[in-house]
Amino acid sequence: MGAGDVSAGRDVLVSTAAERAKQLALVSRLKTTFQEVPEWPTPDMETHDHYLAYMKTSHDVGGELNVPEPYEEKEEEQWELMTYVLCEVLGWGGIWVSEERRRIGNVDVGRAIYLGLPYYSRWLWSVGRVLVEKGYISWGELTDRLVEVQARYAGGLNGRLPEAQPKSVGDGSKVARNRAHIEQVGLGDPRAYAGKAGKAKFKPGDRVKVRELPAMFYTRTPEYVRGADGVIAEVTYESPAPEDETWALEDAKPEWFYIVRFNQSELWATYTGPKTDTLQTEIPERWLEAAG
Amino acid sequence: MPDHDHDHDHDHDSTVKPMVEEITDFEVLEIALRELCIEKGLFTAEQHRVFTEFAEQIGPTPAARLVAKAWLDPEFKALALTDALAASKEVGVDWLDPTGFGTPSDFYAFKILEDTPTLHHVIVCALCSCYPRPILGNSPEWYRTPNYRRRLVRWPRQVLSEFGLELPDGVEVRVEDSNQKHRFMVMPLRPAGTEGWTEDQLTEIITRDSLIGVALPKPGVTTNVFSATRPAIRPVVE
Repeated sequence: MGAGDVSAGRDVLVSTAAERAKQLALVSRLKTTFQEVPEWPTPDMETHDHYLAYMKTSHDVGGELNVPEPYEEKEEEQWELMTYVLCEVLGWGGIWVSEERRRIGNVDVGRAIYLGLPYYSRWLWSVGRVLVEKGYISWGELTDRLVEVQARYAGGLNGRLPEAQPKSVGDGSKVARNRAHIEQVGLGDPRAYAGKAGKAKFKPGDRVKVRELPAMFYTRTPEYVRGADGVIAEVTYESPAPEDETWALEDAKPEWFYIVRFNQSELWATYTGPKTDTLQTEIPERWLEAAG
Repeated sequence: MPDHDHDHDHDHDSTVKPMVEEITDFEVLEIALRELCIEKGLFTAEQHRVFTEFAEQIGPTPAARLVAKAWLDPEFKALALTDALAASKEVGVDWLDPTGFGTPSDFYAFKILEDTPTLHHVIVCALCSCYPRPILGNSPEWYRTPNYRRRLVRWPRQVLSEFGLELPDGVEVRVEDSNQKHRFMVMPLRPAGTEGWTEDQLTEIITRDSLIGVALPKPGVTTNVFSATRPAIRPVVE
């Protein structure tokens, strides 16, 4: 059964002119630019503020505006559990470290997909992406298999549960794997990096300022603390920074991490709570400098 | 086929045929990727089975027991606050499980935040939804939403009040944004009215929400704040 047959069961493939128009209308409602700027701006239309906003990593949502919404629990889908397991066994097998997944699924996808797809579907998205980018599978293998699995269930599930049916079991001995999944056994991450960062630059009680680095592509230092002063609450552990781990740089030098405490009324101009309220977050040494 | 015929067929189909239970896009993608991984030898079916068993049994029960033990035993409490990984072992959670180096996404750096009469902690991950999975299970849906993550770091008292938790000005609210390798859990204060209670009794009132910091334990309350649950299309197979 070919791919074309699949569309009879569901609207996977756009087929008629009316359906194509409908899909294009949907895409046009994705918000990709600021309302005051047209799509495809010329260089003279782009301001520094806009550039910084586009550069901001889409997972970094702390402090963004949001109307209050109801809080809801959700029953877990079987595929969500299987997705969590899939991602973790890929880490277990040394195919990636979790920081690669976080970048690919939370940042590289851009804002529309980040905010538009369910949480675990982006984990899944990142599996496909990393396997293709690292050459473990080809785009064709993935695409053919998607068509094939779709076709297996083309007539509906009819009481069946979706089931993985590998055609063979591969020889894992020649697969390229990272060092972390061997070197961390019995120690854990970040304990495996203990003693490798040298002397810590700061100690508890030190006043520090978070640097305003022009962080392109990835970071885990939230925008809302950049440029702010805080106090070292705790010197925590040594580890490569996420900005290196996310690209699987195995030889990145570990550095010290710190839990930094900020005063909420200094962090937010309109903070209405008591002056004593605080916020803590963990920051690698490269992002900190002594505060004057 | 002309449009009107198509529409007619469609309407006709939907009135006579029973609804077809379709596989979802995400199920297709998960199955395709898992099959390819096994065929390429990236991991073994045995590893997948072991991790699935691990993932199916995680939940908030050991975390609640840990806090109950700490309320009853000052020595254990000191251990929990200085070496939370060792304290976890005492309630059956080894953070190195099931791989020998922990779960790849939740690391081996766990810290328990002690509330006092003048300090209240609440956790969030404004960057994704880092959460102490091995001891607390999977995070609730609301914990992952932009609604919670965007607002908690900036308007914590307003968010807490939406959970029904109003804290007086004399209590410092401390938001812990767990944005790196540390995973955090709150040790709430033991409430009045629990004098003489056993560990089992105390464990019952230490809800998941109270360990996140959006609720306080209360005698008689054994459930989380919000019970509305969106059903899955095909829930986890028991």
